[in-house]
Amino acid sequence: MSAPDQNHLLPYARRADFHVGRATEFTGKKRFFYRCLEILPGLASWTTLIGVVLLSIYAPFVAAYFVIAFALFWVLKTAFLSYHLRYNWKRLRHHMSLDWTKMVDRFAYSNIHHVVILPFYKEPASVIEHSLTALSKVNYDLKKIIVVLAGEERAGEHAYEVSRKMKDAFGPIFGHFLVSIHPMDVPGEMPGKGSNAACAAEKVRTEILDPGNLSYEETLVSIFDIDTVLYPDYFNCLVWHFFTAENPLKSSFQPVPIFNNNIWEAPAISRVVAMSSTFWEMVQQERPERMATFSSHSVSFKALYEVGYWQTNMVSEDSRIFWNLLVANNGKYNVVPLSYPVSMDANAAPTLWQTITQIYKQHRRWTYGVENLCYILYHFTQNKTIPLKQRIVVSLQQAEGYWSLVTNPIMLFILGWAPIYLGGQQFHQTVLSYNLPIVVRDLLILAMFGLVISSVISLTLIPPKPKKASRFRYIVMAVQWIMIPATMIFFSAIPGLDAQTRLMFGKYMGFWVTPKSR
Amino acid sequence: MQPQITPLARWQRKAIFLTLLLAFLISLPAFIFYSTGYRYDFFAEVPTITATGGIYISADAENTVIYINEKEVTNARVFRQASYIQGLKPQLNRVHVQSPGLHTWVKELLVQPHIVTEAEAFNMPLISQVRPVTEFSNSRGESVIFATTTSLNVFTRATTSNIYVLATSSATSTLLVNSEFSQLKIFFAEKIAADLTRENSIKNKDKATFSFSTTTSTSSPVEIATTTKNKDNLRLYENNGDIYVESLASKKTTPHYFCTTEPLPEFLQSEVVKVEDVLLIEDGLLEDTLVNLPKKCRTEIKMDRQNKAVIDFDFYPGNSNLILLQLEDGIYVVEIDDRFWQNAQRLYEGYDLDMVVYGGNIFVKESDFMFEVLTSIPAN
Repeated sequence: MSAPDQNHLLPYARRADFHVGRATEFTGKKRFFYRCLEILPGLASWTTLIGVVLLSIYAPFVAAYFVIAFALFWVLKTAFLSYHLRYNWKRLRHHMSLDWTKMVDRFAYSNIHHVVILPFYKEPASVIEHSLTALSKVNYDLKKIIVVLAGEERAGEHAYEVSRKMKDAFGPIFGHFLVSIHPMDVPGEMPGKGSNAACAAEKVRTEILDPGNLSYEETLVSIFDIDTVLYPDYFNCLVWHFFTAENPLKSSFQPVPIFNNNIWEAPAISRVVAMSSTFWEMVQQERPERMATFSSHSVSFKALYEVGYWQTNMVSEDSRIFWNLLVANNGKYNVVPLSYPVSMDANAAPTLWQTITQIYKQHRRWTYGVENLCYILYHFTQNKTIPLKQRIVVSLQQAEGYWSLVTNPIMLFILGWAPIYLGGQQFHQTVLSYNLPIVVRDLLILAMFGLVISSVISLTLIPPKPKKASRFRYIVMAVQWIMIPATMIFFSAIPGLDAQTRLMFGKYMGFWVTPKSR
Repeated sequence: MQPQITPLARWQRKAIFLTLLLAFLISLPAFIFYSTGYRYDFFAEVPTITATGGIYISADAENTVIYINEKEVTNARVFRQASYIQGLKPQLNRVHVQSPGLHTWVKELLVQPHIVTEAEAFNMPLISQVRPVTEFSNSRGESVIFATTTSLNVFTRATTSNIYVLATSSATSTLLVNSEFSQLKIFFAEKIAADLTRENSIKNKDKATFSFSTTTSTSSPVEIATTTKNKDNLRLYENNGDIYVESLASKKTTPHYFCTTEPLPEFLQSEVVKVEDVLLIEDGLLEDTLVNLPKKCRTEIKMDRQNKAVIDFDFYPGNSNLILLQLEDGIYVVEIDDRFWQNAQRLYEGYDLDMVVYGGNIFVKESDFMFEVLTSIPAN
């Protein structure tokens, strides 16, 4: 806990188990229960995958019917998601074309201050400089912006040196420029973005907000990954949504992360994976009731302070903060989609293999967000003030999300063929056995038409082609989407299964920082 | 002032969801029925659902055309070297597989509802294709044939696309020795020796088993095969002048042509399936019916030697369904699959031949001339 006392916390957030990170933090029955919850996602996924194999051996006809039904479901799901994606794309482009400065004119927002927390570890100064340069060019009163450059003591001299350099270069531009160095080896903390950000938030409170008598309610905190490059109207867009939100102090604000800072330098596989993540967030923007905060996002300082900032003892702090807020506010908390982009880096290491490894590790970390499911389920059994329907719906939505993330690609692209190979001779001689791959393949081809939409949308989101890049790259960027089945398996399902299995066996993951290079 | 585009409304999302759900519920049974072989005849006077079957034919030859009941098949799904033809009414079908310059493979295949009938077509060249294996080659790698060779007339019955030159002198000092020739020479010598041993053995056996016609033999018929060949769980042997193929595989892995399926239940056999039956199938009857399909399997199949004496036999290289039979008048490729008949295609015409299968190739020795018999027409 970064905050000095408990009085500012919401009642539910004062519980000792509010910031639980893993089962080992409990004892007795609670430990057993939480451990069961940690086992549940991996068990469900493995049971499904093994179940399909066993079904293919012992009941190949049933397995074949299931596979056909599943492929058809996938086609329709693709259509459903593509519709959302296309709609959000229109909204995103429209939002990018709006003059948000005029849009916020009607609001009295002069008292609003923005705290921008930029946690970093060993990222090169060029990456940080790029982000700060973009921040310095936003269409907003820069004196209302408090920049917190949050380094890690464990990064050594690099953290101090880069912070000094950046403060010298950008300090005078903004209202405040605070450097926070998160101490290493704090008991009970896991080194990572969450503990660093929590430390930075408390520092900005004690050193800037409180001395300056700045209202927590009128301070919006934006936590950005260090490679986040802002589009000029981000803060105006945020303010507009803050003022029009039904309950702004009980809302988080989620932009669309587009991983295109280095899109022309990144290999095709990295571009597909990065753009797929963007598309997923775009789809989610159109169904906010399913959303949790992800990566870069904004939230009022008051809301953060009421739950004691980000959790310091787990990996996926970006989503966990939303669940903390939802649970602490007895279910009365939501995410407001901004449908406005922020630009970030796609994975690009010096070699292709390093890039692939990096993507895998990053996605394993992201999919380790399944630890949030345990947290949600646990607190939904504890906090009965949250309406039962909401608890059931949210639990099922989240559980389905983590289950389908892991099982769907494997079932579609690998296990769909299992009845043919495992079904035995009796099954093999049937029309069903011969038609199964044909029908499934045709359905998947139909589903691939959704990729055409993806391809078109991706081309409209990329920055202008650098002069040195050939025009041929546009064609590559259009056809790169045929890699989707492979990327879904290798960078979604398998890292997801890896993460769930680790959690299932209590092999808890630490925070792995994605290396950034330019 | 509101942004002009608002987020997707809940009612809109619900409407899309319900539409797609409806599409799922309607199309799923259709997809399953289609996949199991049901076809709806829109053009019949009384629209009916027909339970169909399929044929899966693999053919190694290129550019093959398949005819079913004299009609060219144009809607087959092609998997590498095989074609899957579906939506066939349950009946006996005459299937032709042909390709220019190759023998035509013909078979009658019974199509049953929900079942795919498998067959392996083969098409050997109409004109034998050979590659001479000469003792020497020149510095350009061309095979050298001596003008004195007595078997040059081999090319009157076959063609070769290999380059060979006719040596005008018998001098060999400038020529390179062909190791393949030396190896084959050894193989053929061994084979001839083995054949002699076998013949002597048969003669001795005949003497030993001689008895008066009134004598009642208590022993079982004597198998006289001395050359038993095994490949892929199949045994090829000779018995009383006939050639048999025996399956050594377990019941599950026995090649399909060793087994025949018992007729299907009456309602599945009829071309027109009533809607009630379809519903029964949905309840799992189809699975039960097909999983417990009664099958009759033999363990051996007699090869058709066309009433000619078998001189030699072997498995056809790279194919478990074909064997090579050397008959009086040449070498034949014969299929084991004996549904209705066994297709036999002459690979090489000739008398007094010796045959060896080595390294996946078929070699023949005719007089003092050795050559490989090709099973396809080489591309120019």
